[in-house]
Amino acid sequence: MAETKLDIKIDEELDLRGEVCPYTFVKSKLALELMEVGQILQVVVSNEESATNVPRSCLNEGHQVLAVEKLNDREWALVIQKQ
Amino acid sequence: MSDATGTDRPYPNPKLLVDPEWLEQHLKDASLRMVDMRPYPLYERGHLPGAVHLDFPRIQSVVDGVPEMVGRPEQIEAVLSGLGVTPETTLVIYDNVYGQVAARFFWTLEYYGYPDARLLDGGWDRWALERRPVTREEPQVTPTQYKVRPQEELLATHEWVLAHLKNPEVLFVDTRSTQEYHAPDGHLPGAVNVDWMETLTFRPLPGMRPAVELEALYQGVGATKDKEVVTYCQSGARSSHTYFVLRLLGYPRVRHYDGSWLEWSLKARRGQGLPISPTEGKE
Repeated sequence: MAETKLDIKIDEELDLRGEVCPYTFVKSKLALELMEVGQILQVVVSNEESATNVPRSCLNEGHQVLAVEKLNDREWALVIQKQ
Repeated sequence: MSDATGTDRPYPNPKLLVDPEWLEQHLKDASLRMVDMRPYPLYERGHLPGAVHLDFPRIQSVVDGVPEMVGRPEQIEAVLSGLGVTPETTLVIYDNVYGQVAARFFWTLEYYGYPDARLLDGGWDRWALERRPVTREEPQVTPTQYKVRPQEELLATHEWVLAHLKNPEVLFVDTRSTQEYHAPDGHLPGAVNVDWMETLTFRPLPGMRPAVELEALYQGVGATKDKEVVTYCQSGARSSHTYFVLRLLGYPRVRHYDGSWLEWSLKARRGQGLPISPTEGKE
């Protein structure tokens, strides 16, 4: 899992590098549904489309998006708290 | 199965969208088969009574290095035979990702000539929020021998897209987000942009927006019913959902560009002569 600069305790990590839509959201939502309310999920994706659309969909679900951090040219870390 | 599915919003092709209230009253109809396309760990924890599970990757294939293309005929025949359906079975499909996976199967079914596929309005999320019946029991299915009949007028290949880019009777709808549409990677020359999520409502319950709002949305970008409308996105899921919406609205000629931007941009990078806007083309 990629290192981020965020000082947040992560409960679950999901490496979705190489995955594209709709799998990035399908797998993020699966992880969130299996977690407890208040727990924090970190997802790493490798395309900008997912870095935008996964947080947007998570917000629609009522979850809290704590951070979207660009790690390098092709990777983003998404930090989502289950609500 | 009748055309009535209980929706109170007058869509021109109402049978395609199944209202949860109506479905709850018809769960035991022998002619209905519900298909759950969520990941199996979620299906296992509870699903609609009588629903069978279908894993999304089973309906997709890789073609010429492009992932997430429509499944091959024999692949879809195996899926349908395994679901135990006949041409008389009404399939009601649902997922938990706003219908994009379910709609991908819907388009696949229409492309392969399946007569009666429908989507559950609001999908699993709305069903669960409304506390409708759920079971962990997995139904016993007797396999059938299903034969598909591809309907080529519902599929846009990259060759077809290239040949029709400047046809004024054809309108391409890019169903990705506005940000993706305007990204440096570009979009199809002449394509209009309608984000697929604009068709949905999330509060108080998830579901499809009313017909009058959807019609205004598409007519506002020139997607009128006298045109042939072709949908595409990144991999073909979101655009399958818009294909479904346009069918629900009664558009007579709708195609789906199955390869979508994954294929088009890949072939463009390979130097296969496919134009991209805004750097090339008529914009």
